[in-house]
Amino acid sequence: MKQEFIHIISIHQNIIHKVVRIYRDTSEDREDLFQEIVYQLWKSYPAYEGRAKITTWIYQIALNTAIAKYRKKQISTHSTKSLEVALEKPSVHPERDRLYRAISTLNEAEKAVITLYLDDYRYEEIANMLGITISHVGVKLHRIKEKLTHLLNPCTNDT
Amino acid sequence: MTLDELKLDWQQSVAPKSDTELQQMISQKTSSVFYRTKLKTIIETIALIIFPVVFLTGLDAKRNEDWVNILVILTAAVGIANNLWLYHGLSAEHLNTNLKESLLKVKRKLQGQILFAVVFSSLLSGSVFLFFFFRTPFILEKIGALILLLVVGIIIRTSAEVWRWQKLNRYIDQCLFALIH
Repeated sequence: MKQEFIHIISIHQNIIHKVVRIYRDTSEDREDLFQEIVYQLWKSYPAYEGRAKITTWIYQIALNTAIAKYRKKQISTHSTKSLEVALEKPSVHPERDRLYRAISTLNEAEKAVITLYLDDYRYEEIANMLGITISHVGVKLHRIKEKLTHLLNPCTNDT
Repeated sequence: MTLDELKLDWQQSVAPKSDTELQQMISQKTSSVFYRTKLKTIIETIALIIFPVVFLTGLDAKRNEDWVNILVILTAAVGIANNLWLYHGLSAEHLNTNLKESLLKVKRKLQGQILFAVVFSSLLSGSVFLFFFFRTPFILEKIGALILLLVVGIIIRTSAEVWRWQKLNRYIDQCLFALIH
């Protein structure tokens, strides 16, 4: 069973990398969370009945671990001010980094929605994973897009 | 760059972990707050078992009165029961559900933890106080001060614990609020 599990995680580990990237800022914190997610997946693996897709199950455990379970340190609360400070550093992909930093200022629930949205999950699947209604997923995504637009182009709101 | 453009970047693979690294991860100890509490629970339970055994089997030179023994056993029993309940609660899995349900389960667990911490602390400090009150002749002021210090110490320890759990509870509330609204 252990080998089978390692094989599955090895194939789908990109999901864990994505969740970790969204929910943690530093490489050390990301490494810690990655380990914790793999550990929790291993513990939950015997209960996995195969009803849901394996990728959905991995996402479920990874998001639940990142938000509800894992608390090594106090998570810092981001603000638009921290975004501006961070932008002062030079980057190879400034546009992409700006967007990632803007995403990092979202709250935990919004991060979960955007993570699943970026992986092309349907509204229905996102709703099932998060325990909210399909229409609420649509509302949340709309709000997130507005928020990100405002964060990336603060002047657009002034008109 | 828009969110749709980011989707392409999102799919790009980062440095993958090797099978050996993954294998190490599943055999490593977790660093979650629940794991640390579980560890503390085990250590406390062992201490609570050893304490009455040592006390009742004659290391104390004088023969203890019945009510003293009963109080010691009662305190230890309350402590052990509390820890077993806590351990059971902390071991229960709650990650195989949707995020909202998972958060609600964590919240219920935290509320139970806070309630038991308060009840256990009250019983323990009450027992300690009664034990010394009946057993020690309060001739010296120093002994009285020491007893009070012990009781206050238990209360401070529990308050710190409750404060920590409540902080986590507030965080879960924030997440739930953000998810539902």
